[in-house]
Amino acid sequence: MNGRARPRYAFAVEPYGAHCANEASLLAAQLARRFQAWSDVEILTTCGAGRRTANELPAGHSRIDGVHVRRFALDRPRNARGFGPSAGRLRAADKASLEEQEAWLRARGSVSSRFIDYLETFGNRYDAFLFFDYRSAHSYFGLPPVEERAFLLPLAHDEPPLELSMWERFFARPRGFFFNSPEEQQLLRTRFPNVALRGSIASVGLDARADADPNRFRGSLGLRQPFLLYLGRIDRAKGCEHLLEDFARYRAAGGRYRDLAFVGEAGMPMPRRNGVHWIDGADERTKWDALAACDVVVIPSRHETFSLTALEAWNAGKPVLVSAQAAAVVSQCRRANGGLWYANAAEFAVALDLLDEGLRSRLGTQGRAFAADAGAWSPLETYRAELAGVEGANDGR
Amino acid sequence: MDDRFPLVTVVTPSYNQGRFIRETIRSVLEQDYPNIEYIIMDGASTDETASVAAEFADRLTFVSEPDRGQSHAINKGFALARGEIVAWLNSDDIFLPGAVRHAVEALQDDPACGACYGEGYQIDIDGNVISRFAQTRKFDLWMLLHLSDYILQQTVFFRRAVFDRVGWLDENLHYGMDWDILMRIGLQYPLRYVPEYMGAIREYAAAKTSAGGARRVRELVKIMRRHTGAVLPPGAVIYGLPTYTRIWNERIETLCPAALRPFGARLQRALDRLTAHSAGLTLRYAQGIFSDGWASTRARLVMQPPRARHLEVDVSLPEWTPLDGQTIRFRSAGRVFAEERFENGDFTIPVATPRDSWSAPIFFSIDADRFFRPAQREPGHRERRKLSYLLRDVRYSS
Repeated sequence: MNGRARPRYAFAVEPYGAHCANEASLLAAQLARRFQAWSDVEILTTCGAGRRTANELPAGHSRIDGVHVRRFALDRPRNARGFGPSAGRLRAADKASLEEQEAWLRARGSVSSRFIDYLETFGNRYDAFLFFDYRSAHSYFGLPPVEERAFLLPLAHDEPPLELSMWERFFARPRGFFFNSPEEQQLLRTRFPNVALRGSIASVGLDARADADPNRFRGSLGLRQPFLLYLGRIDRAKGCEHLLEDFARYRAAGGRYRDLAFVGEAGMPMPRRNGVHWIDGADERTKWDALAACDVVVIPSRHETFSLTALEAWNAGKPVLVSAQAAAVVSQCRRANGGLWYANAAEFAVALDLLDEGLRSRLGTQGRAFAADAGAWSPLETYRAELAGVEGANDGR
Repeated sequence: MDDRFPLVTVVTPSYNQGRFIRETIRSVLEQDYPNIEYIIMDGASTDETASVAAEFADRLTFVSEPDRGQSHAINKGFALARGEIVAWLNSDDIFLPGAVRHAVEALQDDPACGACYGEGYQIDIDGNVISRFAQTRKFDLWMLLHLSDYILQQTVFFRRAVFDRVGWLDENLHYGMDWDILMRIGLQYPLRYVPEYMGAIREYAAAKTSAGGARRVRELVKIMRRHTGAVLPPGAVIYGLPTYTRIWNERIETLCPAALRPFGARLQRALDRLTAHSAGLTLRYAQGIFSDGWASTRARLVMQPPRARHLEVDVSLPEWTPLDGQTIRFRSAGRVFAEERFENGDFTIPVATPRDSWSAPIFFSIDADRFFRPAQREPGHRERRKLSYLLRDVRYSS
């Protein structure tokens, strides 16, 4: 530990902050708060506040929930379009060179040369690095200068960008990995058969907010009846378009849930439909208010290997309804006994019909017990043990 | 003798200080440390010095021959010294019990430091304590170079190897050779502060420090200029004003006709007050870092040549201040080499040092964009300092 009493870790994650509801930011925040008990953690992120902005926040040092956050200016505005069709086209081309793929990743934004310079200059200050989200240019370009002491939390799902050839070399770089689920680890082992992918499964627990107020949320949207909730980035890739269609059919057929609330940043046009509500880019308080207020949390994405939203729902004692195509999340539901799954519009309707007050309560209670086990944070010991290994190696340099 | 007790050599330069030297000798020989070599370099005294030294002949080396002054005598003593730790103790000053033991422990505990020093007392001609030596503070190189010799020489112990490397005492200096050697060591090595009472300086009218006058001030200013390059270092005010005020007051006393004595006395008092006020302001504001840790809009620092390429700077901006953020710029030789911004909270900020400073001490300032005055925040508050942020520590990255 370079003579220091406490190890020093850097979490490289982008974007980051109270305004960010993405999985990487939430996970990094949860871990950072927990790591603080035995280590000094710095979040190394950018001045970008969300998917459409560039350098909205000032560069420099701040504290968020007691954690030291250092922001670096982005080189250029972020491209809001994300992976989607652009990544698909690149993959379909099949002949895109590494340079072209990297240029594409750069063009998406979230690249900070100052961050990379910082790692090259000050990388030795840290005993280890945790990089969050393999798809982030922040990880892709930031990890190589410190790869000997870098761990990657890939947050990988079965999705088109994973097929790009650029990741093959990238996934061989980190010293180790932390996977959210056995399914994620298996997915990556299948995708990268020639890479060792040494690492542990260390799925997370969550700190729920004790001050959640369901009436505040219901009041803000004028909701009086039971309603469904979607949390997170609102995107076609996340199954939101299908959810809107399924819900419209279900509602037209007279289903019991008359309202569907979306809470999160929209990456697609939000239609005006009866019973559909939307709160853009909600903060943590609104999110936990929404979880406390809702009756069922819907997770329509077909590409997840782990769902943080499901854990959040269970933490709030709410059942989930997930896409049957997301086998890993279905498996998560089975382990938790905390939800149902659906493969099409008809099953969506049937599942919701089944979810009466009694079943909601049972599934929610079971889910909460599962989340409480995860919330015991035994995975922290996994992190600690793995990171202690790299500290010992660095001391012996 | 095992490694726990390295040989410590103490050299006492003496010349006709027979009335004090017995106490000095006993303060060295009665130390609770088992491995001391004691050398007295006497300049052919004509008083009782030799006979007092003879009483302890089996426990010390006494050399008596004409020399070219105090620095020359000390250097001759160090040439004879076999110890890996060395110190000198003037023949009218004393070590306090445990001094050598504390020094050895400190130097063993911190292998990087070049010397150590501790707390001390001012004593009167009879050996009674007048007061604590109030200037003593933790090591701050900028302050040592520019402002004041806050290190009581009677508490200082050097590594012999460091002494050999930076050069021995400058024999052309008569008043500030101890300050000069501390500056030279400080520019290369950290000096370790030991929070123990280790030595005492005897203050009396004939003592060299008290009697130096303008010649002493000129020599001290010359030393400061030599090591800082500053034409008028703030230490010139600290040492010069009281000395010249004393000289002027003596002239007023001499030249003032009897009829004007009351006016002359008033003028003397006014001069004393002005001097005390100016010296106090200089001490307080010159560095831009206050004793409670607050930094003003320009904080000045000097660091030894880097042992690492980065500095780590601990800063803090408390929530209760009217400032919600601060931008600081690190400037050396007129060039900004780093800029950082921070919000409320405590932060450790790494800063890369300029490449051209990698082999030399780095003189730099930290300039802050914003400040507040506590008096503005709380009506009736008398605190008028410009406060920018709390500077907790500046160190090389480990």
